[in-house]
Amino acid sequence: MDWFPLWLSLRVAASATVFAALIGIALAYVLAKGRFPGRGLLEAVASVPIVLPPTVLGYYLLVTLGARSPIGRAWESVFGQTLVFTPTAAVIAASVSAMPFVLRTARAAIEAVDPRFEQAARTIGLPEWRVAAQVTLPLAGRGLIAGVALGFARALGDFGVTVMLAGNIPGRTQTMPIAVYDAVQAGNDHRASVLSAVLAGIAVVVLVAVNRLSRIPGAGHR
Amino acid sequence: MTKRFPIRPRWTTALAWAFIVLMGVGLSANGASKRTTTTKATKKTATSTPAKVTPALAPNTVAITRATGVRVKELLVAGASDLRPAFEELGRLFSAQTSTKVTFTFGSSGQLSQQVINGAPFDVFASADIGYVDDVVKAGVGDRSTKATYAFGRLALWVPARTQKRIFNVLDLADRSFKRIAIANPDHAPYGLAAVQTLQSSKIYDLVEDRLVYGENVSDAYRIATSGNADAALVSLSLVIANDNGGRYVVVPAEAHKPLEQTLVVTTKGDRASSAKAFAALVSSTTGRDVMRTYGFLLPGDPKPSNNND
Amino acid sequence: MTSPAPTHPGAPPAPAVPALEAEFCVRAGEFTMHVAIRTEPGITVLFGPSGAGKSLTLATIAGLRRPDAGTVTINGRPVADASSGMHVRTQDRNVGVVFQDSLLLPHRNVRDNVALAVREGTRAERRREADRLLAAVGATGLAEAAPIRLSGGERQRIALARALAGRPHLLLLDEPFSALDHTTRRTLRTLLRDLVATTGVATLIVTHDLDEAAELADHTIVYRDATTGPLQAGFPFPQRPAGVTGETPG
Repeated sequence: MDWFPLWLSLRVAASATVFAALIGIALAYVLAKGRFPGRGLLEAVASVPIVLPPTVLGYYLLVTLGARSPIGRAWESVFGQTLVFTPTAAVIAASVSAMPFVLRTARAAIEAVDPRFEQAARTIGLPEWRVAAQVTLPLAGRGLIAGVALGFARALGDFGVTVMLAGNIPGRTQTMPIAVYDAVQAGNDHRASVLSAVLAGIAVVVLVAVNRLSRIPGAGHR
Repeated sequence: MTKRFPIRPRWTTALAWAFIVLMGVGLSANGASKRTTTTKATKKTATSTPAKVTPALAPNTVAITRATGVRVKELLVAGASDLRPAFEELGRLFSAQTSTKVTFTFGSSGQLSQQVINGAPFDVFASADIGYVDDVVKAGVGDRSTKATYAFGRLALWVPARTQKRIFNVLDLADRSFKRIAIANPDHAPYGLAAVQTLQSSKIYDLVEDRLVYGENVSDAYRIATSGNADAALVSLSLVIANDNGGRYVVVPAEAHKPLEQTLVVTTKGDRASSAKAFAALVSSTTGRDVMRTYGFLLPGDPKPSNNND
Repeated sequence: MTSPAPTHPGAPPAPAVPALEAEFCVRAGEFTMHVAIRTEPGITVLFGPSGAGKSLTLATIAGLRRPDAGTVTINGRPVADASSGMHVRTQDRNVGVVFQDSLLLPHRNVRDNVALAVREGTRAERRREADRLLAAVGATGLAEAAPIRLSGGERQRIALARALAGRPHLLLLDEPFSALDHTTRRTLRTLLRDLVATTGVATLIVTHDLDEAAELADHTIVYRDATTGPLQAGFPFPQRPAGVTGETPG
């Protein structure tokens, strides 16, 4: 049995989780704390990947990053290969679809932090970035972990965006969900069921790990 | 003082480690993506490279060329879903003859043509309809001289083994015991369009329209029916022949719809194009014709009867 | 505006620059509260019923909210001026604050909580300073403990140490002992008096407890319901005026 899709999926989801976590948590903090013009628009745009059908989202990304787009052409002239239909494109697809889930969960967690802790931190002279790094984000820790885990699960499970942007090329861009789909299409029910079971197993392991992690004392209470 | 529980930053440490590990894995994945992605650097280079000459290539392609002579190690073929059984067999034959592995991506012709146009690294695009090949050529990513119609697809009406009613032709679908009828999405799948044309020319489209369910492509439509989620399917004969699962089928007359011109085009240039042309030649060869015939395709008597070169 | 007259015997002499001069209005719901305070050395008690705006006064002085009119000057330096929109951030006002809930960071141990508030020095120096402050508040044995494991009284000791760690010009305490039992409260009042005497920091404490006000006050400011004219008052307190005399905003 060919296990390439499993390794590809794990690597793509891990990369995508890092990007989605960094961008998602930063955006969540800005949206939770900031008051600036265009905030509502930013919030709406950041949530677009949740409401758009994945294939539509994938299509827009393909048009934006494809070989005929300015970005795609610039990428090709620098790296000598197209951006789309590569594992890098799969990482982009998974990041874009995972980021809003990190953002939403993280934002709720950040907003749930008692602002009096932040005020207390200001009275002892901590500058705003240290208030964020040493007070708000640690106190929101459980929610952040939950958000990142949700993002990982979403990245691991993405089908629609990935299939549009990275295609379904066995051995190159065929991630687990796409491999499951392809096996079903090919009438290979055995492969489809084995891959599905593995994917479901990973999801359960991630959830258990997250539960354990967020139960560690010292996080998220006063 | 009573006994105290010292606080250790276990939680932050765990989070930090998780990030470090993810970062590491992430970077390795990016590195891997650079390694595993075959370059398309040749795409923009000279158009007619003689097969015997090794042209200037990106390093990893040079390595592939050295290892296998003038042949590339792997050929990427985008094929319409109806071609899956026949092309997988042809792919195995090609690998045996040339030691070039053929990797297939199957889907609806419309979706695959969009991928090719937007930069997917396929070397051959094999459509179930000539129109999508023309789109690809017009977009400047297909080699017009390699466009070839090598077979005509047949439509079949398939019903599962549990079906009580005997079926003779498409008109049987008027019976409302066929509660759901699976076809491919006519918007971007040629077999879906042919199915709609067949129902229209048989004057029963209005009777069945509300019972149609769409698959993403023709094999998706077939899977909807074989998995018990539809009571009949109008799909390609090739898939029905390839997957003997106890159902029954009748072949739809070719005149019932516009011809499903199975047309391919080479969508790559340079050194890879010679391998791609070799695969295209195999499809049209006597061996290729035998394989296609096995899966129910009609073959043109003339090698390229409908290749009108626009 | 008037300043509270020293009433407690033995209060330190007034320095040339008062630690706090403030006269401002803040809107609180339907009322506009008018505050005028000028501190003298020692402990100034803000006394009055709940909801009279005492906490709001401290928050405005600390820079946690902006006054709608007026100015705040700490140690001779203007830190807020509503007419020009000038607003010095809380971080840069150098005030120490003790809240009713200690608000110690739950994910850091006691020493870290105090050391974070020390404004100068290397990491080791800041930790040494934290240990010195912990000793001063009688909490030496708690340095490694998690705040969540402490009693309420212990937490407020740590909160006091933290508030003093930045060597503030002004110490603000908002009902700091109201959640504690009677005995602990008495102990901590004594501790507070000692600390203020030792450090000489000008202190404003909000309370609605008559005993506490009586025991701690060098000076007293009495709040009526939602507006305050600062009243010089020794004991006994004047009767609280009936009703609310707040202006409506706008």
